[in-house]
Amino acid sequence: MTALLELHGITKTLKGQRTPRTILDGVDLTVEPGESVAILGRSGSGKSTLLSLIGLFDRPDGGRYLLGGRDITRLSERRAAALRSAEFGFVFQRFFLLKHLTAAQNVAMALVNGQGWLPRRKRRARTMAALDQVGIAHLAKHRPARLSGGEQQRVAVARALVREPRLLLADEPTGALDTETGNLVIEVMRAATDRGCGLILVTHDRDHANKMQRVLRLTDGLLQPVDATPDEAWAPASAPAGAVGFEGDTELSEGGAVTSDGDSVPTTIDTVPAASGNGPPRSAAVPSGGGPQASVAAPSGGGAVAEPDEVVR
Amino acid sequence: MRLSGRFRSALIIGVQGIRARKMRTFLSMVSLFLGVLAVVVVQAGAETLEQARLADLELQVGKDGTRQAYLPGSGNSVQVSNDTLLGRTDGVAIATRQAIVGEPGVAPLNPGGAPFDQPGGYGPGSGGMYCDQYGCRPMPPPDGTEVPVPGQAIELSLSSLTGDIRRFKPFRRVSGEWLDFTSAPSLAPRLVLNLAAAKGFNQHQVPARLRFDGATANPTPQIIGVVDDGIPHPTAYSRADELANWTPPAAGTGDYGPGLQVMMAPAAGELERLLVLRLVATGIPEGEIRFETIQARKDIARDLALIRWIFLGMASLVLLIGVAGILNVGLATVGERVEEFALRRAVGTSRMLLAGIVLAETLLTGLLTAAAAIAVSALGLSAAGSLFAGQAPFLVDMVFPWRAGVAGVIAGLVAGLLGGLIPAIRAARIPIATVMRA
Ligand SMILES: Nc1ncnc2c1ncn2[C@@H]1O[C@H](COP(=O)(O)OP(=O)(O)O)[C@@H](O)[C@H]1O
Ligand SMILES: [Mg+2]
Repeated sequence: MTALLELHGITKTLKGQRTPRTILDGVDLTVEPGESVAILGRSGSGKSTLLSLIGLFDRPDGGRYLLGGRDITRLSERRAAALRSAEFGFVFQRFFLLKHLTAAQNVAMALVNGQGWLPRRKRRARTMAALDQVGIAHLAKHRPARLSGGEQQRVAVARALVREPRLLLADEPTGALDTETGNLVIEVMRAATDRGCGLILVTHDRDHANKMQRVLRLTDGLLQPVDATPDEAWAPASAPAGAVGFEGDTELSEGGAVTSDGDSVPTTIDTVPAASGNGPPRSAAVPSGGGPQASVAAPSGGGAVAEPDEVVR
Repeated sequence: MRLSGRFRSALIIGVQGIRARKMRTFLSMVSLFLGVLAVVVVQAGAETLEQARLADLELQVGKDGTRQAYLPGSGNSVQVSNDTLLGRTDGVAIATRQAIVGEPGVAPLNPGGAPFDQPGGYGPGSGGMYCDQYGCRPMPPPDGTEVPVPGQAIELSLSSLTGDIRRFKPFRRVSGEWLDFTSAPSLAPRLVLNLAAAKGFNQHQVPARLRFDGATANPTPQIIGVVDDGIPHPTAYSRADELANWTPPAAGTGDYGPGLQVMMAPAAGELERLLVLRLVATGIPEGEIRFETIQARKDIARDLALIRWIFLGMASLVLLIGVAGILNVGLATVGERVEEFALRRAVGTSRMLLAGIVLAETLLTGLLTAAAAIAVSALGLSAAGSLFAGQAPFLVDMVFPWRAGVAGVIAGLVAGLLGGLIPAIRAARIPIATVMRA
């Protein structure tokens, strides 16, 4: 079946103060519908840059980007905006709620973006459904100033989910939260993947990362798989980090401090070039029975990328 | 459908933005208000002035487009004109002669039909007229022998009308009523005075005896009303058929025959040709009958254009200051909303729409300001109307000129556009990744 997202050799060079810096140096990544992926990496390693390319905030300098099998490496700004609206949901470290709007209006903001038009009644129904999904429907009329950090971030998640995106992109969503509320927010997002929504989570928290089906690390401009370290093997929902979608370099650099001893196993899998694998190595690498495919029955699962026009009627 | 969805989105976001920043919106409105007000006031003032000037000019020379001719008043021309135009609404003949109301055998209080507030002779002839029981004749020269003593009599121009002249000259009724041309002619000629004549009749008690050249007897006139006709010397208007009762057909051939003026509606070409034919038949050379078209508006427009441009230039300078104000506030607001705009683009708002939203907000502000400025100047105009009614009577029934309103709305929109364009471009250029760097 068609992968939700495929990155092939994505490169990005940013103009620094003096010399241009290559932040991404050939990133490969494949995400299946309903799959959850964690991305670890040191501060400044380019995780946010990668997410901004995936989320069509920016364009890569090189490589290929396929969404639902369609090449969207080069898109007009207008179509990119339509895809951002229809296909992606974003959650950021800072919640970015508009303080002059209520929780419900903040969520509805993603519906009032010029991409299709919903009458007020439908907007309200969708907004309330999204707030309900993250468990804070009762706070709909509150302004951000009256909400706790965890509640604010859940409003942000509801805003990301209200259009039922196919891929949720979260950039350190728990960075500003304490462990407990952070867990709650992660759980809310993970629950969305049960409905077939893909999830890419950038985080510093190993526990949160281990709740994802795969854990990757961005080092030296490359995405590399991370295996479960002994101390997190017990983590309940953690999936063994399959090297799914990882291709390209066979040489792995040392992982970060956290995975000092965890890079031996995946290396062998990584050396299998995904392109040459005519079998289904991806599903094989994904643990736990049904895996992502089983949960793809959800609203926007499978198929080609929706045309912007048919996103909302 | 898609466009209207985008439009509605922009409207919702724009209104949310304005409501969230009422103070800022108010401040940029204040700076723009004076500019729009200046434009509206200049436009309204120019138009009011033009209306007033036009009304005055139309009063004196006649309405725009009217065809008019001055004809030699001798011979049968008056008779022919009266016969041709009597009962018509699309043309009127005005025969004017000097007349005296009051005591017989005395020199009038205003020799020559001069205005009452300024001394000195006026009107046709050098020394005015003098009437006694034998009729009227010019006053003898000062060195003559028989100088009549001044008595209770008023000299005025007497215009006989074949129809309602107000179709061509918009006389303003001051008191009483205007001549009724539909009723049967009265034996006592009904007179309507102009303001200059009314002044004389207010100041002096004169016997009600009307004398004019060629009259067979001295009828008792009835003064039924007063109008403002814009003419500074005493004048009275009367129905031609009522005066004709007292004038034999052969009269009016003397040295002081009446002046004859004919006015016609622009569309009365047939009537005009008929009159010319008949006049030529009475022996008036065709070359002496020249109709011309009144062009009051054109004359005024030329006068006012320069003044108008100067004031409009000043108004646009003030408006420019307003634009600078809106621009200042707009740029500050965009700087403050960088994150909001980046976020909006992240959730799928396109660059164009975002720029549109910023523009929509300033345009909305401009429109609100224009509405406020128009309301204020309309109120001001009506207040001025009741305050200065004495000095400037034309202000009383002045309505707010719609073109000034349009000018205000345009000024508001242009200011919103100019002041919003740069902030809009700035907003559209904000990189979306801003939401990740903060
Ligand atoms: N607009 C920019 N121009 C130049 N360099 C940038 C820009 N944004 C980020 N960088 C640099 O790119 C690198 C990667 O940044 P980022 O993707 O935010 O890393 P991470 O999210 O992993 O912390 C950093 O070294 C940062 O300083
Ligand atoms: Mg980052």
